[in-house]
Amino acid sequence: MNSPDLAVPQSRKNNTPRRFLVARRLVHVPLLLLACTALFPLALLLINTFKADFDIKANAFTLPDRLHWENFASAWSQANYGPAFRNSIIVTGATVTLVCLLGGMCAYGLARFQTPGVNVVLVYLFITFSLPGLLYLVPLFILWHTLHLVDTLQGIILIYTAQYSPFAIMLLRSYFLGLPRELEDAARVDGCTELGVFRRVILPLAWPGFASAGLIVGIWSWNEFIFAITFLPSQEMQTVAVRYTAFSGQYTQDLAASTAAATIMILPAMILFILLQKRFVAGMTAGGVRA
Amino acid sequence: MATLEGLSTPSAARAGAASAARRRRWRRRVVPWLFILPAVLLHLIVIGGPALFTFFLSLTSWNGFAFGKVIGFDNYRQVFTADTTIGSAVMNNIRWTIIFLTIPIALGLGVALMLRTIAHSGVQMTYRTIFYLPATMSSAVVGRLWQWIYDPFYGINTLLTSWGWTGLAQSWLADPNIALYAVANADNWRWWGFLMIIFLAALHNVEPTLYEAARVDGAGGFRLFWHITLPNLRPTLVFVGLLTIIWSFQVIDLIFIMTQGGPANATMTLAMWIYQEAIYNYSPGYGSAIAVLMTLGLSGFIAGFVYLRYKGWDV
Repeated sequence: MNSPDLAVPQSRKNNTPRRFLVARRLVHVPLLLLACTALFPLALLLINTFKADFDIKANAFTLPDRLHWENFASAWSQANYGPAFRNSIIVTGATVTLVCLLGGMCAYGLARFQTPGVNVVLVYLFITFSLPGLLYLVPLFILWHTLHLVDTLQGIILIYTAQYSPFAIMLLRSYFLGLPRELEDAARVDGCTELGVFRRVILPLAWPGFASAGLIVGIWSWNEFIFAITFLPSQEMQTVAVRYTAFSGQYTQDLAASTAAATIMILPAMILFILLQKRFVAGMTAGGVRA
Repeated sequence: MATLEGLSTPSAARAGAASAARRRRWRRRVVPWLFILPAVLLHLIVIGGPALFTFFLSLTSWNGFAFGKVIGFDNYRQVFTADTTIGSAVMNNIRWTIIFLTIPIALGLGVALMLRTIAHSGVQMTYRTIFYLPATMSSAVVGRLWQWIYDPFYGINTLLTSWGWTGLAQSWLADPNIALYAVANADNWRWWGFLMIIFLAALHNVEPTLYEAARVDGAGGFRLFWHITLPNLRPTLVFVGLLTIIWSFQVIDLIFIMTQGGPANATMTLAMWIYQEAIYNYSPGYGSAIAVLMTLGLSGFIAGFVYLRYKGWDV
């Protein structure tokens, strides 16, 4: 479960009848077609990132005459990405840290202690997991307004932490349930406090689970925009996703800058995904199937 | 009950052991909640509390500036009698649910089955990465990207007309008859790869000996799928179906970016309508009433799911 190697098991490779082998090659026909449909919009975006605005508007489906790297600089300054990147990095970093810390502790408590009430918490998390965000958006805005948290990064960090914690709790709980109890008991006999057990035994053992949860929560907070657009009205507080939405809203004016702004926004998440794919898939499947 | 147990101990007689007992009790009763409560309290403040407050808001005529009067169930009455938009919103949510219960699940499962037959793990990995890549993108970028592809002047239509396929060059987002399907197509583009990953993991957990035994008995491709793969995937399919229904009734992000519910409410969904009423039209009280109704409807689905589980279904 922890590192799913989803390839075909060895035993099935060799003893396959010959007629299946031809069919196996044919499988690449639909797969390649689907790969084209998956990649076509992405390729269109990447290619046009390097074209002049005039050329994009003349024909989006041609290759660039030369690589217009200046699109990135003009997108960066026009969209005011400098402060937006700073905000997004702070929000994403703080959300991931808080979710791993609070969610990890909660998951540990739910997995290890048989206190009455544990089931109530689990049911509460399961029910609220499926609540539509729009159900609580308005009252939350009033509350945040009263607490002076609207238009602050702390405000949106707390919202994301609360929203993404149930996912991390479910994922980490199933992870903790799979860890051997003997090590913890040994640490307790040696006089470790409960917090010490969590810090010295659980955290080092469960780091792959934390890595998966952190990665997924990180990409979610990087990409989220409905709550960000509502709770961060002023431009200098906005995250990249909000800045991009606002900036590309007037996109007919400068398509070159808008495509470059999109590329800048999606690259960090994509690179992270390609580099850490295994952790990502493990988290998605464990958290998704068991939620 | 827990306190009774503590009181029944004659504390005077056990003065020496008292502090040790207290420490043990502290460990057993209080420490777990020190771990569990911080996350739960934050969740209650941000989500649980405001969600409950919405029920109260839905009974008021609040306009966003000053608290209105409590008007009882007038907002609800209006939803059922005077709201001409809500009908098309519900219909669009139902259409959306039907689309996403079929196309992405079929694609995700079909591709996962095809990928299973590829023995070379590097090739399989490459396909998987390509299919999942769109899912890492922000809705903001996915929405704008497809808005641009659908653009009548700069988008795919220029390519289609240059090939002479003018019949295919529709006004994708401006035609009320196809706008919803155009947005659903964009959403499906970045959605089915996630389902493929889920199905691939579920297929991986099917015991390989089951297939071998069936093959020895002479079962072919389709019968293997029907009698072994599908029954083993049932819990995953039920789970994915439930998620699809929940998410289809909450869908807003691509619609928010691409059409804002237009043209002529052709892409209006419940969530988009709530946002418009609560934020743009300054009637959070009314928006809350719709949100409450929507949540009650969704709770019905979840209650059914929990009931089936309770009845011993392996779902």
